[in-house]
Amino acid sequence: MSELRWHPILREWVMTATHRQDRTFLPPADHCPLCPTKPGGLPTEVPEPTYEIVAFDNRFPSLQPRPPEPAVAGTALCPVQKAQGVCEVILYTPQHEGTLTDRSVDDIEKLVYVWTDRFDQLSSLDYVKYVFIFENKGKVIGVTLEHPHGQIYAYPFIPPRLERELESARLHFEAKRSCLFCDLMREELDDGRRIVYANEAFLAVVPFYARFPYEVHITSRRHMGALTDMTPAEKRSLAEALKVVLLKYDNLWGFSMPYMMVMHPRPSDGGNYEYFHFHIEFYPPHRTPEKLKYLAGSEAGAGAFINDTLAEEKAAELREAFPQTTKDGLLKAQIE
Amino acid sequence: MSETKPKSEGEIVASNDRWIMRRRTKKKDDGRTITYYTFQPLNEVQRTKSSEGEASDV
Repeated sequence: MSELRWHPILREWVMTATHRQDRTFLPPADHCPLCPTKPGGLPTEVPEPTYEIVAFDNRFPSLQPRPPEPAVAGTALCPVQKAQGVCEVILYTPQHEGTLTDRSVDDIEKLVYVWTDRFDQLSSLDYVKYVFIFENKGKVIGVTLEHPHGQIYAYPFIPPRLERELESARLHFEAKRSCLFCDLMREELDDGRRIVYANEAFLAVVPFYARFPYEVHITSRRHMGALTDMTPAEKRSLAEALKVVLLKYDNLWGFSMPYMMVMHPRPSDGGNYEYFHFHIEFYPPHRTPEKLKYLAGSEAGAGAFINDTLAEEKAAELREAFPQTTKDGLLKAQIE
Repeated sequence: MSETKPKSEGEIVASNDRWIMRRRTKKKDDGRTITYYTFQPLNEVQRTKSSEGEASDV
């Protein structure tokens, strides 16, 4: 059963998806449903014996192109809707072991092209209002399958976090006639203390207002709304930026850093969002090698984050992690 | 590491100065959609084209 239930107090949709309780949980490597189907072997999610990059409809979706009728009737205050949308899984590689960090810049660049095509394809569906590309990495994030993969949710609404970002960007644009994200990037470049990495087309920083200790935002230097606006050179630069940030995370403490990686493009509902600016956000849950930042009372109950660290200090730590970067965010030595 | 090479088939949906990206969409047995992406190096594409040209000349 799945449906959208309206939360009248927060004015946002809650997706119910009871079938997700039955999803596969951390199977052994030889029973991985995301590996290719070997000749004579058990069928997996990918019927062919190999692949490069694959996207497929999630077996346990929260949103479906042809959703069932809601299981309950709504009320005037609490309406319900069918959970129409798309939930996809993207497999980065047929190799079971490893993470996105282990992929070469060339491979990550190919993934950027696939993300772009999926964004384009899903945006064309008339019931899709927002295409959200993300990756949950690590058991502490709740990952149920270890094979390197990401996900896409094509929502039939603009999610509340994005609505708030859009509203901030719109208000800033109306007041200043400039892009909020471009202006924030200019402040970060002027200050310099929170820069982690910089290349021709992207800037990675621990933002001034970071909510997680090692939160990193990657923003395009050129004002653009989505992956589909990028030139081939910018896609290559994005792949390099992702590779550097991922390497830094894994080398910070010598273990594969769990994180949530989320992309924030403009909505896909046909509206004019020229004031919005594409960016990627990473939220690693660790605050030390042994301790996690939990979303506890203040964060979950009041929506007010407490960050026990200073963004300026965490950015300096990330600059020092391999591959080391200068105060301007430039690589001290080239990487493969 | 996979031993077989993925099929380079499907519609060309993107390219750069090194390869072309193809997309091939299929329905799985349960009706769900699966989309395969393959990347063919440009030099390989050019080799295929020239060998096809030679064949048609014969």
